[in-house]
Amino acid sequence: MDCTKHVTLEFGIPYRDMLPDKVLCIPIREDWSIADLMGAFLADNHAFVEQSAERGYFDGQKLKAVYTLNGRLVSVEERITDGDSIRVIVPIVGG
Amino acid sequence: MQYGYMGSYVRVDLTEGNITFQTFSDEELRKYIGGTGLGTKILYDETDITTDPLGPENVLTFNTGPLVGTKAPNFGRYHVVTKSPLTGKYAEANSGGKFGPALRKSGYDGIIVTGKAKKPVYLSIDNGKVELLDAAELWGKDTYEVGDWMKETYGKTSVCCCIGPAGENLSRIAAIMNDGRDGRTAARCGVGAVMGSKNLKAIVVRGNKEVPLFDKDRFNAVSKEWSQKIANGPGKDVLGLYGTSCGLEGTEVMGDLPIKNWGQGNFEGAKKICGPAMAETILTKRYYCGQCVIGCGRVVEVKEGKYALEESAGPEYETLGTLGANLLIDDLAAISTMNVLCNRYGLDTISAGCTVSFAIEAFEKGLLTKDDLGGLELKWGDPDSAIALIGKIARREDFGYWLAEGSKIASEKLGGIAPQLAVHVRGLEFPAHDPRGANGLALQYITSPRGACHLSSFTHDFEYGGGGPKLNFPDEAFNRFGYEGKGAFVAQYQDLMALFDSLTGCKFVIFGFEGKPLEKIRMFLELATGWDITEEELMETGERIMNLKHLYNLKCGWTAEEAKLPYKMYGITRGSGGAADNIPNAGLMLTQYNKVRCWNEHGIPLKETLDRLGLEWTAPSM
Repeated sequence: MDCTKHVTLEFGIPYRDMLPDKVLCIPIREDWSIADLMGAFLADNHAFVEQSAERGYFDGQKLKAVYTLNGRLVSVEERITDGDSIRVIVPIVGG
Repeated sequence: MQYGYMGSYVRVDLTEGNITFQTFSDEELRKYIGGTGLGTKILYDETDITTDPLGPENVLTFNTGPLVGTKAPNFGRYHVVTKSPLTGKYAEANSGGKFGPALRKSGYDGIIVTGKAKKPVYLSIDNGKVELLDAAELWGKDTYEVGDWMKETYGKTSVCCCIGPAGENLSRIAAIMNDGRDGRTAARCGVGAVMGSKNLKAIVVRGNKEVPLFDKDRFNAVSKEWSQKIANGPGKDVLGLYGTSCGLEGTEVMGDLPIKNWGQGNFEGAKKICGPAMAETILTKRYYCGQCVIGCGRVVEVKEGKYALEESAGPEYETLGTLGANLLIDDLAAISTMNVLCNRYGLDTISAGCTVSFAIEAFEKGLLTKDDLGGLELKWGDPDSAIALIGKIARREDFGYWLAEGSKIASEKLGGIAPQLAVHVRGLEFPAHDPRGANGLALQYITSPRGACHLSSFTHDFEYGGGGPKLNFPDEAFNRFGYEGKGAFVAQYQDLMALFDSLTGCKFVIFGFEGKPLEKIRMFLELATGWDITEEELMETGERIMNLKHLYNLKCGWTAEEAKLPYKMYGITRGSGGAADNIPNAGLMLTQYNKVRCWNEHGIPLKETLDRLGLEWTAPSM
């Protein structure tokens, strides 16, 4: 990918347990949203997609998740830029 | 033969010291099943508006369901049903652990306690033999000590439930604890105070009787199949590995977690107290309740430091929320210590946490002073003062005397703006889920028969994206900030959960039933009881039970005025976090809800509703 901008992508449970690293540095293109970032990430990580799907963490074509951008809850359509930090959190309350 | 049932309840009149046995007709069992269903029927029949919850006339019931004590996965809980000293109306509190299955194996489906013993007693049920025994030696002991004593006296296979000092002191936020140091709790509504008011310190059960099953071979085969599926299902990756606090980071982000007595939108410390943080620091092993295949229970150990703790039951999500984030405490070791203290005293950690957070804010605003607290200074983020206050509540020392009555009564005692700081519905403190984060939760809190309860419909999990089963409401109802279909959404899930509670099932099993819980429940129930039952009849049973709980509240004087959120939930936004500006319009949703329920605008069921549900017999008492 011809780009010089990067974001930090951090996965919470259970996704982090399906990846070798829970924090990743990902190159991005101009005008990307979180949806673009996740699309690119999922396209490059087939094993993760398969494992997530097997365990029921896909809702149609989308990973079941909510996203924070620099600590703030945002929609998947939110634009991202160089140096941003994105967290992927499974929307399960538990208690 | 009533397949699926041991055949009777033990009935104990503590005033007279009499022990008898009560049976239920086939029709009654099919209409109310067990758990809170049968428990509510007993409560409705035997108490009313004149019943003092802490008087001998109150009835205290312990209820199981037809799948308890079998191999059916995650159906091993028990429910306590009584009249609440905290709300003055319907009370239910349920617990896991091993007590429910052990009660059934001792030979009975439940226990009904009435009257008041002249001196402290405990009840022993040993493979069918029932005795009332002197508890002088146990009175004053904490719940872990009672658990240890019972194991030494009755052996390792025995299981007991009991009260601690808080229940003896009639704290209206006292719990009934079971399984000794495993620290399982029937926590809510002050049920521990009811047990204390009867001078009943403990119940110990043991036995090896088998539950009679209609088709034992198929039942066991299906149980094995589903045990494996659930164990390897969605719960495995989150609830099993990280406990009920698996989602705590997410609840903070989404605006669900209570922070600083429900006044703040974000809490940086959430990362330090969530399930993954616990797994990386103090977790030693997982705990499984009877028949459980998920294992969300936590066992923790703090090896050194100020809050060093021997291996103990670890804090659940609710405890981390109310005694952690809500007090701005982000120290897992300290919260674990508070959890164990509450367990030993026999206090509901939810109500205790919310009452402490109320007290800290009242202190901060000058409504409560050091003089009121024997020199204790309360501060946000300070575990030591919170620990000291928990002790004062359990022992009813200083203003702890009033805090032991719960935050509603304590706030009224303080007066001024104090009632605006207390967060409860009808006296029952909020669990660790903020209804400003999910509109359905707001409707659930104001319509739940026991007061602010997140389990009566469990919708918050589904509104946040947990994936609830599709019932008969529009998909838009899953939108947490929306209103479309919320009345049907909450009402139908309440009916489904009332069914779960009549079976005393763990609600987490819903995530393992592949989106079809009714289909699976019907299958288990048919094989256990032989009933030719449909999914529609099951939902109607849930609806009947929900209506009966509400009818009991009406019988005790409930009015529509009580269906409201506390001041903080309608008067203040948090201004930050994942639900910064949302204020749920509870009135709008309540109108929808009453219509769906076929109740009038005052929340009173219509005659045709009572007739349809076979509850016409309640009409005279209304």
